[in-house]
Amino acid sequence: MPDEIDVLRRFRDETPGPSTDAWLRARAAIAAARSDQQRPARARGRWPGRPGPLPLAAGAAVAAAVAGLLVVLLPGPPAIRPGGPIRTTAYVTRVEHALTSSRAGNLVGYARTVLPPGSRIQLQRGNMSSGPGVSSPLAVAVTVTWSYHDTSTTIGFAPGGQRVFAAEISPVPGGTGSQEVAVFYGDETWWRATTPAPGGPGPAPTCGHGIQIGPGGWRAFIRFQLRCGNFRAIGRQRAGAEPGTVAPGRQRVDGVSTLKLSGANGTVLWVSPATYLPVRVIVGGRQPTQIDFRWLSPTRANLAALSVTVPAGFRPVEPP
Amino acid sequence: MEGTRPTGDGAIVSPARFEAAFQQHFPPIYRFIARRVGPALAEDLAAETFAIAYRRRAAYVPGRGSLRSWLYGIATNLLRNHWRAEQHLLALDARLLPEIDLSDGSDAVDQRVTAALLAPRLAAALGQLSREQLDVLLLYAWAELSQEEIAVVLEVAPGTVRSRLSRARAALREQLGDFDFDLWTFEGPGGAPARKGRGHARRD
Repeated sequence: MPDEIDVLRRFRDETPGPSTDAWLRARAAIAAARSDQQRPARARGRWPGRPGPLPLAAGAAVAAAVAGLLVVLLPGPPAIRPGGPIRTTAYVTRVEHALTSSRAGNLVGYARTVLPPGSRIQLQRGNMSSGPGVSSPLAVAVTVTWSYHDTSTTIGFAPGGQRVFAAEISPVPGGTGSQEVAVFYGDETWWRATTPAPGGPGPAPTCGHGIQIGPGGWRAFIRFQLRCGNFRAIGRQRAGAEPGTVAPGRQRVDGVSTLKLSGANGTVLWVSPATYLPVRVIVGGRQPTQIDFRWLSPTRANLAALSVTVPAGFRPVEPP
Repeated sequence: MEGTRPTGDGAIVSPARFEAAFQQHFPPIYRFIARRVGPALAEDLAAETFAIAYRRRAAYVPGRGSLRSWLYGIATNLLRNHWRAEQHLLALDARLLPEIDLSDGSDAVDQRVTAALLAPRLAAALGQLSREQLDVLLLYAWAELSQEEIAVVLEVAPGTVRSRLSRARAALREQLGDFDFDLWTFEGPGGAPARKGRGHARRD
C-alpha cells in the first residue's frame, strides 16, 4: 500500500536523466583522474598536490600552434620568468591534463570574450589582432569563438550587438597550410586566403606576453600559460599538507561551482572541479578582458556554428 | 530498484569493469544528486563522484557491500558540502506555484493536479528534516538502499539508521498533514475542490 515513501518515489521518477553534456563531463572527469594516476608518482605528488617540476615536453608543439595562423594580441601583462624552473601544483596539473585529454579534444569549445571598451580588431591574412596600436575600422565589443579540432570560427560583435565580422580558419587537406574565409558585414565584403604552413616551428611565444591564440585556440593558450607556471591554485592550505600547497578556493561562476586559480598580474582562471576544464578566465591589467568558456558536445547544431557563410550580394575583395 | 541490473558486482579495478559500472550507475547517481541540488550542480557532483570512484576503485571490496551503495556513499559525502544549496532549492520548491498541464483531459490530469499541489508541501517537509535524517530518508526512498546498506554507507550503527528513518518518516507524515493517501486526494489552497485519483491507499 502506498505511503509517504511512495509519494517521494513518485517525484523521484519524474527527474530527467543525465544529458549528453553530463555524460561527457563525467567521462572527462574520469579521464582526468586516469591521467593523473598514470603519471609517475614522483611527478604526481600527494593529495592535494605537492609542487613538482613540470617538464617542457610539449614546448615545440605549443610553439608551433601559437606561432600559427590566427593570432590575437591583447594588452596583457609584461613578460615574466622567461625560463627558469617551472613549478606547479597538482590542481594546475589536472587542468592541463583535462585540456590535453582526448575527450576534451572531442568537445566543441565555445569562448565568449568581452573586450575592453574601445577595442578594435584587425583581420589580415594569417592573423587577427587587437590591442594598442591597432588601426582598424572594426570596432568590436564581444567576440564569440567556436572551435573543434583544428577548425575555429570567430564572430565579432559591435557594442550595439550587430555582427561586425566572421572569420573561419580550417586546415587545408593534406596539412599543407590553412584556409581562411572572412566576412565583413559593415561594407558587405569578404575575402578568402590560403596560408602555407610555416617551414619550421616558428618563434616561441613568450610567457605572460599578452594573449596569443593559435590554431589550438584557447585550450592551447591556457595550456601554454600553465606550462609557463603562470597560474597557481589559491585558497586555504589543507591541514597536514606540505607548506606552500593549497586547495583552490571554490567560487560560483554564473551559478556553477568552480575552482579558482590565480595567475600572474591579476590573471584569474576558474575551472570546473569535476572536469578541470576552464569556465572563465580574466586577463588582468588596467582594462581586463573576460573570457567565458563552454565545452559542448559535437552535435550537428554546434558543428554548424563553425561554418561561415558568405551572404548573397557581398563583394569579394583581395585579402590584406 | 533504480539503477540496478543483474550484472556482476565485483571489483572495478579493470578499465572494462569500471566502464561497465559507470554505464550502469551513472544515470541513477546523477538523478539522485539532481533531485537534491538541481541539474546544474548535479553535472559537477555526479562527474566528481565517478572521478573519486575511479581514484579509489581499488578500495572497493565487493564483499563489504554493493557497488551502488558504495557509489551512493561517495555522492552523499559530496552532497554534504552543498547542504545550503540543497536547503535553498527545497525552500524555493516549497514556494513554487504549481504549473499543471490540463490539456489532454484524461484521468491522468487528476494525478498531475495532485502531484503538482503536493510538491511544494513535500519540499517544505523535507526542508524541515535534519541533515542526518534527510540523508537516511533519501538513501532509503530514492536510492532504495536497505537500512543495513545505509548503515555501512553512513558509517553508523543499524539502530541509528532505523531511528533516523523512523523519525524522518514521522516528520514527513506530520508535515504532509491532511494528504489522504487512501483516496489520493488533496484539499487545495484556499479550499479548492479536492481532486480524486485512482487506486492509492494509505498505509497505517
